[in-house]
Amino acid sequence: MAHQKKFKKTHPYSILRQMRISVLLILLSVLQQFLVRPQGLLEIIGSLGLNAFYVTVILSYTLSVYGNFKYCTDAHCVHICKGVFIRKSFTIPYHSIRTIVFYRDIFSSLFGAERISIDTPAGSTRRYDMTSYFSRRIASDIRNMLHRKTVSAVSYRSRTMSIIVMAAFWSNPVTGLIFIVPVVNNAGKILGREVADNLVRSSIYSPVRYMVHFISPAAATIASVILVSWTISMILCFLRYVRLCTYRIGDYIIISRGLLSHSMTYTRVSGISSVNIDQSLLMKLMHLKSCSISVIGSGKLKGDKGMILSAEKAEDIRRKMTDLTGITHDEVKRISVARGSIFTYIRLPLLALLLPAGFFMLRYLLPQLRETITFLSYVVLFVVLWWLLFRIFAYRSSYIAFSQQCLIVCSYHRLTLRKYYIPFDNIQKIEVSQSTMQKYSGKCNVHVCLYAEKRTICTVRQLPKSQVDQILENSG
Amino acid sequence: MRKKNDDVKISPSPYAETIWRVDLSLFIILLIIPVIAICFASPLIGGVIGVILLVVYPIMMRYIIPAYVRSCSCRLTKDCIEIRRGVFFYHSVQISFSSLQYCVLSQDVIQRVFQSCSIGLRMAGASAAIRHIPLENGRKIKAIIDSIMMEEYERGDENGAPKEI
Repeated sequence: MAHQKKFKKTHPYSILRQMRISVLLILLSVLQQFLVRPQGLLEIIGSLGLNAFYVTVILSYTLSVYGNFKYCTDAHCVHICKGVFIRKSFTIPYHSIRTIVFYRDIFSSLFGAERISIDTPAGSTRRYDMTSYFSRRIASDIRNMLHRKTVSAVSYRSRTMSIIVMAAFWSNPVTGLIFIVPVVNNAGKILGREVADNLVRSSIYSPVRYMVHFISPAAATIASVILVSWTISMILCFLRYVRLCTYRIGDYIIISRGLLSHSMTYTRVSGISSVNIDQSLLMKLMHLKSCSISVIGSGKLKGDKGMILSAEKAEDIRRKMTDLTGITHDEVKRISVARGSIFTYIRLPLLALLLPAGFFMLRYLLPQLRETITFLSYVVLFVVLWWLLFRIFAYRSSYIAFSQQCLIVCSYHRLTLRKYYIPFDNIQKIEVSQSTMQKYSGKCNVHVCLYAEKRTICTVRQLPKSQVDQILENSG
Repeated sequence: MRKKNDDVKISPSPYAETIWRVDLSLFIILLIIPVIAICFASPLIGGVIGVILLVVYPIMMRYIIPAYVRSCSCRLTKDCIEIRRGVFFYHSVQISFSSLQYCVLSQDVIQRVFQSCSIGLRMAGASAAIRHIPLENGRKIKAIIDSIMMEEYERGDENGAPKEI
């Protein structure tokens, strides 16, 4: 029984991680000392006492969290006790664990700690079932235990150039802005608003000086913000995925990646919900594809896309995918999108073309912002045209097919064409829907539901209904 | 291996009513603060909400909580866990051991005072709970559920399911 076992504590680095937000609160109370500058003896004693109280409360809570987190393992399961106000004790059997993530960054490495997270199909879709810091020796022992039954290993190491290409495809200015805004904001809080304002001014005006000869200063500012944000996003993405290595050891797929923060994800091959081959329009132009997996626990680590193979030629991707996951790509029966259904695919981008048209009209209403609005109109027009071209590409490439092992669904997901290889056992539901117009034209939409960390639905639109019925009847 | 006549009936803690009453009282105390704030903005709306609270609170304390605790029952059978509860809306849940991933024994501050606990049952994409049972019983039930889960897994393994780790 769990309460008869000898429970162990985790690595003390957990205290520091727990205190990372609390430390700011302690700093605030110290800053308060400097700002309020208590004059009288009573004021000084009161202020110091208040600060001491804050510090004691924060420290006590942090130490209680650390002290109450205990674990022990046996041959079948891991027992965990945690919680200060709500105490929880639970036992996770090894056979329920689908994903184990080993993660370390520069700071945890300095303290000789490594974060281990385990995940099961149960629990939250945003957090792991158990996460804590352990010594690197324990982490290494666990890894060795997982490798114990190794007979042969297949490995794949990505090229740096290929990761740069992937980072460029994935990056968007919004991610960069999300990163920049808190950095500038916090700089302002610590160093003063004037410093933050200067930081923004200098970072914006320096590129503007060069671009101002060709476009208006406002348009140059917008362009520079977009470019800088995109570059930052690309660097972050690159640092997360550089040195990507994927191994197949026994029943596990191991994904190792990252430069400044390194993560190793162990996933059971039997627990893979789907293997996905992704291709964006730009990748299509470069004849490249990438491969990822959908499993329980994927996407919980920051920036995790479950990628196992970065941008490669299609043939290489298929071969390596089969080596790593055991899923082959031989199609027995294939149903493509019905002819003449292109309008369903391009309807939204066509409507979105009204947006740049509206911007162009706006130039006449706001003549003083003519050049800026013109620049924005061209940017929006480019994005919408790209979307339109992608939807045409998706219309030509979407299909549903069967192989001996799995159902293959090729459909678009945002601006990526994704081919899902779904093992038959992992299909939760296949839904065929028909609108009134589709009833008349004999077409239908097919939705395939699979259970990964979040419920995923792959949809292929405008398939011929008769062929879909026939294939579903034959497959049982 | 447990037999059919080994069904375990789980009754709520003798303090279950008291714990629910304390929980409700704390909730009402938290509600009073916004009601006072509303009273300053609009005395009529604040007054109406206050009167409703004054009427609902004693009814809940006197009739609904005891009825709810009486309706709560749980049974561990050979294959599954049956949970029944509800006063106005009756719920009956059956959870097979094979679908369970793990179970959590939790104790909040009030439960610690009354030596009781709750057991959370975690499944893929769903969860259920057995609330306010005596702590000793909770520990035993958790141990039983854990051992049944292992038995289920090993039985699956004998039937040809792949054994992992």
